[in-house]
Amino acid sequence: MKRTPVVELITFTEAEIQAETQAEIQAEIQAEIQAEIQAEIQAETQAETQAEIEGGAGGGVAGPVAEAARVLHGGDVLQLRIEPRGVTRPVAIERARAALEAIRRAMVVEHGLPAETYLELDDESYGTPVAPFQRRRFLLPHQDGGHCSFLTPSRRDCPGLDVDERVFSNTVYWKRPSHKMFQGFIITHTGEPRGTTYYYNTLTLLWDAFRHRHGRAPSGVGELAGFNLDNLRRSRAEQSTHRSRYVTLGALLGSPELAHHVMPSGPRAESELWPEQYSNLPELCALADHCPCGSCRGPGERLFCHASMRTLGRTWPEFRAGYEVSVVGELHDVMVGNNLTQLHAAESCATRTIRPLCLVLDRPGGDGYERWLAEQWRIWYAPGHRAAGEEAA
Amino acid sequence: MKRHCHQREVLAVHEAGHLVAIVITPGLVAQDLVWHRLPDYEIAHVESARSVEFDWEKPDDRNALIARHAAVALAGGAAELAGAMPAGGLEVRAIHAQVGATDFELAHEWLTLQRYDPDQQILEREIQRLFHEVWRALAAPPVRAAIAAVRDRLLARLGDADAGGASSLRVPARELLAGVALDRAAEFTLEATLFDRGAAAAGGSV
Repeated sequence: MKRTPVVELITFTEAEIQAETQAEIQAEIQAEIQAEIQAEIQAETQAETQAEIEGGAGGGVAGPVAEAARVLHGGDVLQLRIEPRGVTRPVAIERARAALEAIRRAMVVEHGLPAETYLELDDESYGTPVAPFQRRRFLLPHQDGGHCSFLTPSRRDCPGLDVDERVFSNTVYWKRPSHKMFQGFIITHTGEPRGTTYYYNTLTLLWDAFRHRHGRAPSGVGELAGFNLDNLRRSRAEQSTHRSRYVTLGALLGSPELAHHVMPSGPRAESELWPEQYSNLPELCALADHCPCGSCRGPGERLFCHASMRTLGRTWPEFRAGYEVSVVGELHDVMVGNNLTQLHAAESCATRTIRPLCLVLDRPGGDGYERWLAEQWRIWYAPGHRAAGEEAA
Repeated sequence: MKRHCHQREVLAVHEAGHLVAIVITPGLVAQDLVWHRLPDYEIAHVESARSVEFDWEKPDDRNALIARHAAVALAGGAAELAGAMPAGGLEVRAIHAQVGATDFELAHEWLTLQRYDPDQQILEREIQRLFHEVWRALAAPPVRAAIAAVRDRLLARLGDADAGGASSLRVPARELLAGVALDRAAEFTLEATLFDRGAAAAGGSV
């Protein structure tokens, strides 16, 4: 299996972006013509996308678009840098949008990403909310839009899964309720010191949690998928008690302690939990006061340390040592990772700003999605990635 | 909630402040008061729900609810001050100490929710303003009398819990508020943290 993702830096040029934008305009015209002749919609999309990729200077099987698509499809992290640098923020954002749109199209054609997947670009840059009186914050491992974007098995592996089980909650979410398959952002202000983004392979965590729980490795993807679904169902069944609107590490990895299903605010390492969380599960008070490693910075991090210890047998520092890869982005770099098979974290100062760009679906289901998701599990599990002693039984 | 409160009287006033603030604030409905005795301290919390006339999906309603939730989060510490606000008011760090980290961070979190580029100083100024507004609302004589009545009932219930050896308690808000008549007219609004989409769009390049 692939224990940790790899961060790959890929550079686009201005010319490649412009060519891609031109290809996009041509594609729009082509789409209109195709609409007039009432071609079947999905076939249209496929044909149009193929034409764009073949027509774009940055496209083709060997260009940076194809390379970036390969990185993302392979379960790794894309650090995208567009040359020349030193442009204004609006130009940088537009180039990033165009590049990621081209990558999306390539992933549809070359890698089976569902054709309905679209690029979601937020209206404004995000700042870095820090806890009161802090200058920096450590955002604990999480999935963006975690109320409806988290690792689930494909229905090909777990036919009993209902598509609605991919929504954990639908109230008081931040931003849109889209299913974010790939989360990304362009750095619109690095802050000083520059921020660091961390990535963790969710499937590896799940595998290790299974081993920790059962004292043996899963027999293969099917058994691990079942473990994933059982854990999610158990957490949902107890939602009226833990009241978390987001899937936490403890929930995902099947902690039997409901306190581990509570999401700290942010989820920042330094932050307090909410009064209702403490009153609802008063055992949280002790967990937030002390943690297994004794070195965590705040209530949120201490709770995470407990959940990690319970599900993986590792303290939070040991978790980081075992699973983490990191990257420091520069101004206008675009960072993109799989939001389902990876968790990400970040350490940054209050002056850093980013603008999220995600590849999303409105409803994660259907044959195309199930096929793509099943393949994502198998790419991670591929024998070439598998560590010694972890071959399937 | 003030997690490290060791004085029963202070805890009762603090939670009575939250409860009464919910009652006087349109859009919120008081639920139960929950209390737990832990090995090293006690915790208590008044649950609230949104009333049906506010729709979270509507931006104006959402902003109103955020302001009200933030004010209610600060109300426990404000109630502890009763009529004794220093002449110049409180600085933000003093407010943090007064309301406790848990409540302060809850207010902070509510105010962060709708802002995309949260400036910490703006957030703190908003908290400072809301804290003084909720203090003024709670300092009105009929409201102070209501806080005192709730405090006394809560202390009585906690005394019963002590006598019975209970380590937790859930009291419906209506029991604590029986006979208390208050106007539901407190107005709390966002000012500094209201996101100005137009200004943000005009705000420059790197």
